[in-house]
Amino acid sequence: MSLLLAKNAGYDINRVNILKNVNIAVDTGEIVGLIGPNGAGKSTLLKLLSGVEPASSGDVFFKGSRLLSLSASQRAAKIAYLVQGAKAHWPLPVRDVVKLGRLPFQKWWQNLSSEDSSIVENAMQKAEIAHLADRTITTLSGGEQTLVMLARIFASQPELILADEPVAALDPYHQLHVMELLKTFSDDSKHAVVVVLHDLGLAARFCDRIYLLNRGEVWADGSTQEVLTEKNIQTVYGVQCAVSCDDNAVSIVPLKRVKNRHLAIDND
Amino acid sequence: MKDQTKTFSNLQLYSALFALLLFAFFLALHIGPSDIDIEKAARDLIEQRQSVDAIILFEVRLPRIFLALFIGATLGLSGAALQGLLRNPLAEPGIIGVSNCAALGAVIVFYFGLSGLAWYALPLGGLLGALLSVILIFLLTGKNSSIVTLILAGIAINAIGSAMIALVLNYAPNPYAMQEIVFWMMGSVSNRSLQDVAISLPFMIVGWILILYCGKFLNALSLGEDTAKSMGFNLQKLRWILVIGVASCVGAAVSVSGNIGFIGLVIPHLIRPFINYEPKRLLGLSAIGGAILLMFSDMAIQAFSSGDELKLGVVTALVGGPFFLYLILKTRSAML
Repeated sequence: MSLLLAKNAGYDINRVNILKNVNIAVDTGEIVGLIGPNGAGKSTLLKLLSGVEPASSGDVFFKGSRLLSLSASQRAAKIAYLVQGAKAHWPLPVRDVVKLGRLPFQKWWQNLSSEDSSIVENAMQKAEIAHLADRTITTLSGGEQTLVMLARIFASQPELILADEPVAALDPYHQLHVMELLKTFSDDSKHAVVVVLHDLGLAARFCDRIYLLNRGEVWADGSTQEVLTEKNIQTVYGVQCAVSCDDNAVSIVPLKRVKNRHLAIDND
Repeated sequence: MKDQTKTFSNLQLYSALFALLLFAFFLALHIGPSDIDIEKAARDLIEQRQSVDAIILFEVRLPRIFLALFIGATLGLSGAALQGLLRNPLAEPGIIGVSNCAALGAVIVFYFGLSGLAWYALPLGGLLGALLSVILIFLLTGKNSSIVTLILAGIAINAIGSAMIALVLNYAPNPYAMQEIVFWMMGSVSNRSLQDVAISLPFMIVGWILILYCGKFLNALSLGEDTAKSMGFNLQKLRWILVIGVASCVGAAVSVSGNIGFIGLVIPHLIRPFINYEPKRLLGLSAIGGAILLMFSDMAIQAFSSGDELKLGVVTALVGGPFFLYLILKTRSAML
């Protein structure tokens, strides 16, 4: 049984089709990449998968039960969602931000237990930000802030992490750091990760499987070799590129834009 | 902005503020235009002896002190709540038009003589006015937490509120009624009775409880709405609880005291650095801080003015206005 399953999921905003007939299955122990051009519906899909937005049609299942039949706090205890460009609106201390990860497990009158506190410290160590614990989050670099947000997510001890472009605008060091942390998390037999990525090279390198989205539909899915072909990339992204593999990594170099990309796909 | 964080425990902060509050309370008992012996007055009150001192204490000083306390607490608390909800340090009942619309609700009740219908007519009018404005603010700002949107929405709602009040005043039955309403709107806690306290207090208490219930939600909101949702918070429901809470206590406060601005802006700003900006902890402390500030402001008015007393709302606006400008300048670079 899949950990997460989307069956013919669709989403409309003001009768505009954002997603249609999306079928996705995520198993434990894997890290699944969602890729596609801007506006393909990746972020919306992640919202449906997290239960933050309900699907307009179709359904999403978590461990066999309908996602929306679970209570919000049940979902929050199992599924963690890292929003795109996550940031704190107040200059909070890093430790306090990570503590927010324990919120789904507290009633409104309860405070952190000592067990919660040790989970928080562990999460910070896991994300390798223990040395930043007493800093103010707004004074950290973008890369460090992302790690803090990841620590917040580790603190909620989820089974599934849904991360929306966690490495956008990060330097290569932090990109690798964030991806390695997600990879390590997914290597557990109870865990899984779905990650939206724009960097195709990183996707090829870290993801076990990839879904390529185009205009609200799954265009291709499968292993990285199956999906990241020059042909797929040209049709969906509208760029000619050179894909090459060696023992260490896949490299995908965009070469040239293809004119009239949208005319090539459909005629509107 | 300091980088390393420093913490004060709740015990430290609450005991410091409570001590200050007690000090303010006893000081306030001794301040007023007429010179009375407080101990004698208290003794007379308890032993139910009629004396001038006892009457002044019971019918002049106590209502005034209690109103300053409860209304200050309401303003501090709802300022902190609105700032947490809109994730913006410039939100405040007065600035975003809630007080003005609450005043409108109360003026309408006055004007149509509805206040005789039921004891709760006046605070209820204030509540409905306040509720309308908070909903409007919400529709106008939506998910956007930018300063510009908030201030623009506030200007619009304040303008609508003022225009409607002006409309009502225009048709005021006689110039005295108009003068009365205008003076009332300037904001004051003098010349009120313990009955005014009793009428408004239930609404304020309900509002306080609803707001305090949302503390954890405000903490979660500091990471944004989608994240709060994903953490299991029912955004729709909790927003309504908070909004109704603010409307209830601010509506009741304004319907008794008129417009007293800027308390909800100044107090959370002063308290935040001591608690590392945590929105939930800010709530209770801002309530006590607001009470202290309003009690001292009211004492200052009585101590420094001779003859016609300055209106409390005028004084808080005179001091709070420049503070608001300072805050805009300070946050402009960080938040825009």
